[in-house]
Amino acid sequence: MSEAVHPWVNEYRARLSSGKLPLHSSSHSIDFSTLYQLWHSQLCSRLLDLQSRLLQAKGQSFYTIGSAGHEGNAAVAAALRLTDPAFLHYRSGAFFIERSKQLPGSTPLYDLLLSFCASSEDPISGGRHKVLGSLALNIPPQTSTIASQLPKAVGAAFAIDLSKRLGLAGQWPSDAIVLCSFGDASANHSTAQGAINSACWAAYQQVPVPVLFVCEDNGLGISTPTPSGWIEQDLADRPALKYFAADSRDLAQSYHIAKRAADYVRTKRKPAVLHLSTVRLFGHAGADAEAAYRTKTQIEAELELDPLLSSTSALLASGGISAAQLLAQLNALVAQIGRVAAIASSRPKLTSAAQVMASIAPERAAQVIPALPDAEARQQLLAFDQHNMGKKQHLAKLLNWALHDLLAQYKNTVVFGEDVGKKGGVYGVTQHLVHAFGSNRVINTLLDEQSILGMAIGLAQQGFIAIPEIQFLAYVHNAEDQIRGEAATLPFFSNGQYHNAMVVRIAGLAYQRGFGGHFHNDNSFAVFRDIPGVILLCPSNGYDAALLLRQAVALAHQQKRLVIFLEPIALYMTRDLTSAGDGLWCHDYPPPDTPLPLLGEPAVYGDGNELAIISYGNGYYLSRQAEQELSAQGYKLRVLDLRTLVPLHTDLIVKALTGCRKVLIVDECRRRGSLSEELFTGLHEANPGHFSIARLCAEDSFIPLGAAAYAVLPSKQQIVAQALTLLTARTEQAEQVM
Amino acid sequence: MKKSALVVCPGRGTYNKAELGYIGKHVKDSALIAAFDKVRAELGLASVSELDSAAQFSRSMHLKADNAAALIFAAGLQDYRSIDPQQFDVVAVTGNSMGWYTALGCAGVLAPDSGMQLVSDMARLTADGAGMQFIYPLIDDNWQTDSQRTALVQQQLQQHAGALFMSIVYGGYAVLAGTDNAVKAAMAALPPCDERFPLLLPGHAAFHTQLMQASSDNALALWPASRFGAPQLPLIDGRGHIWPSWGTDLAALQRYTLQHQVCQTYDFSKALQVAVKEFAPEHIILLGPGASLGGAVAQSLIQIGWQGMSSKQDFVEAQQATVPFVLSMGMPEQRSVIS
Repeated sequence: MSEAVHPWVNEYRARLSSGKLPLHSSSHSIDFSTLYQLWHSQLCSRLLDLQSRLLQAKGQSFYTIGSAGHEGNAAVAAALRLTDPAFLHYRSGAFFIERSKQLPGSTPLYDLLLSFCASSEDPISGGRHKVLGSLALNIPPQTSTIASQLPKAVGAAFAIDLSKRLGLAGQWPSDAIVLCSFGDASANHSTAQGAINSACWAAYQQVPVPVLFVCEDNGLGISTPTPSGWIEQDLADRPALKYFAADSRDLAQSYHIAKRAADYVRTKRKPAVLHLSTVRLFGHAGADAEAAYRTKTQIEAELELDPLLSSTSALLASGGISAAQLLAQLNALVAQIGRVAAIASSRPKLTSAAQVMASIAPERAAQVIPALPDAEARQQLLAFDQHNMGKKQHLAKLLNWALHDLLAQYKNTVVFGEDVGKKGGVYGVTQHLVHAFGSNRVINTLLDEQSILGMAIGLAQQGFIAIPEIQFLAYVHNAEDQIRGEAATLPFFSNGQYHNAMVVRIAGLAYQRGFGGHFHNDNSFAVFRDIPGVILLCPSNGYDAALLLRQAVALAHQQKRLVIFLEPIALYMTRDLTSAGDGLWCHDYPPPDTPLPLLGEPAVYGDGNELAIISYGNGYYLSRQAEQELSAQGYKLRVLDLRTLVPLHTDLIVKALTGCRKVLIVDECRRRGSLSEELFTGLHEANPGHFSIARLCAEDSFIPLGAAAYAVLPSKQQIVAQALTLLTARTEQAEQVM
Repeated sequence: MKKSALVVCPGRGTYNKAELGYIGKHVKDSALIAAFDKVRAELGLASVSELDSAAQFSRSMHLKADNAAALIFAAGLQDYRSIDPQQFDVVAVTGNSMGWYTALGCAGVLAPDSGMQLVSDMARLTADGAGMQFIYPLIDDNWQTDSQRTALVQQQLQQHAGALFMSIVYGGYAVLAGTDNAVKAAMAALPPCDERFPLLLPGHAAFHTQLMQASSDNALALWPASRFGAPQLPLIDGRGHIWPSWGTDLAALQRYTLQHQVCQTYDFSKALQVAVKEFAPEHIILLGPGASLGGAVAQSLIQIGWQGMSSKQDFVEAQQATVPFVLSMGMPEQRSVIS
């Protein structure tokens, strides 16, 4: 087959023929079989990179960030076990190929080429992205270019040993270690720094975190050089983090040092970092014009450091193979990859939105819900609160009881966050859980939301149902990428093969009597509204809170969904609706066998047809107050509590509005970017011109301290006033969309 | 321009009445056959020449384990050596069941005489092994997976767990093996179909199952790793593992050949599928004797939609090409293209 070849191939051929190769020297020895296998993996990776560029030129490949110069990471793969989960940096082609040799039946060349060509037959992403990933190879796919996979790698490492402590079977065996690689540039990212810090923080207090970080240091962040010695200075002296260093161009050294590092992590169950020196060849990506920021001399000097050349020297020095024989192997492999590429590029692609979206939240086979503990066991479990049993309670108390039931029911649930232990969480919702379930299932963490959410992802990938607590809604914003870029995308980029089911509890929203200011009263969850696949539930009262929390955990267990559970802080302890002591906001604890609501179905109060108020959270609470006042004036209203805020199930909302055309949306979040916009649009689109809709929202402001907080938030009086405007509007006006 | 080719070696049961004289008819290198005959004589066994040139086919003689294995190995290796190197560049080799030994011979892991000795030894060691082997289809007439048949086979495997095993995954067919009782019970339980299934494979023990453990132990003692040489071209085994042409760990290859492969399922479909995906050959050459491999090869390709093939009809149509994708040396008109 007369396929075009990349100039590097001819250069390599010439080097093999002429013997113009670097001098071989290594302080370590390695057997010929291993050395040849590593060279083969390196060469496969290099030729695949080059093939991808050739395919791109023909419009058949769509990804050219390659592994050239980093192929020494094959030695790291050889030093690890197949069952060690690997969260890989995007220059890890050789690692992937080398690991595939540990699993008979693997087809890395074909699979990677399908991935380059975005074929729907790509076994990991189904044609959605070029990722290095495989379920069978224990390589969860990463798309990260900014080290955002580090927090979950730390979480997975923690989870592996937690499975052992709890006697639960996990995705990965109890003697596995986690491998997580990243580049020198992304080592500077706060996510990387936070994750490394978290691993150190845990290991420093003897908590097992068997993670091997591998920093592949090529000295360049696209065009910006990494200061000489920076990575060593940064990583060599961290608390409880063992530092190893190797030059990836020396395969024997890299293999032995990686093995030592892996053995250290495996036996000590402590984190380590392997600083692997590499080079970057052929630019950052196919489109990167390296000549714009590096001199020709620099580029040429780097080519002399090509790890394939040093591996070749090592092989020839071993005496096990001649240059002519290597040349024959090279030529055979070039032809082989050319043939595989021709087939792979002809395979089908995704062609419709439905196909693309099928893995965002794939429907999974029904799974049995674990049985509740019997009545006696439950009685013992909740005995600490015996005096409150059978009485109506506020939202925080009912959530607390629901968590007790859920942790007893689902043995793989883990609650964690800063202060969730003895303190009982930021608002007491997790009180007593640690006494009932122990510190392995109710875990105090450091205050770093990226690490908390990363821990959730890692735990979930090991098979736990993670229930992290984020103290305040505003705190999630510095960590949103762990949800947006990592957790939510995992099923998508793995064609549904990997998942990370979790229920993220977040205390949030405003109306806290002026206390706390903006960061404790944040009234924006827009960050979650545009993420495909995410579910966001928000209860307004204790009864629904218990049901919705059960629903959230069931969704995580059965459908492996990522659920955000937004808890209105101001309603945690609220007991009364309109007057002190009326107790109307205290509710019964729904018996554990209470049927769960249909996902997305709003709760409806009242059956009036004159006006419907749609709201959630605090807005719903205020709307119920308003309804009492309006009802006293003789108006017939109904009030909808949305409960499921993301995604909005407009069909169920419209159904709940049957017979009612005037609609007031009360949204405690800001006028711009709040749910009210989507709701307004959705109702109009569902039935153009049918509804007469008005919005009452918070101002486009941050929340100030003191009484001024209420100046920017919807009030009961405003709801009443706006409702009356709608109620008294002339019919023809009412029929217009406002 | 040379065409790249994957070579596939057939397993037991491929030298039958129709193949009598196959070796003599296609002989090109009489020294090769002489070498085989010499080994057989040293082992005190009937020579390949003698068996192949018998006046008539005798089940008791030609299907006797060590004779059948010798004929199949000899025919296969001779066919391999008949492939025209000016036309075809063999890029990898695989085989079905005992075809693995032939594949080792093709790849140069075993010299012809060693290979003949190995297959004769293994045939004798395993022939006395316990149990039986039978074959049952998992596909319908159009070579589509028949979920009902598959479920029935799985049911039998579960019902006789520890006594009945998946012996060979053979394209659209399951080859099951196990104790005499388990095989008889499973054959009685599976509904008869296609006029001949379930079909007992005469003279076959419970190959590729743990019932072969004693044979494996003996083989490991007889055949140390030092008797294995480095492969000269990539080999794909019955797990779909690729043994490279350099750097193969010969001790591991010995263990696989004499232990894993003898006592565990032989997944021929996987071997074939890995081979086409990783080597993307322009042709698949099926060695003789016989041409019965074609169906299982085609079914394995259809399972992965190779080259867009999704049915028997697709395969039949693809084979109408002047030089078909799958070339069988057991079919005279195709043999003439290859050799």
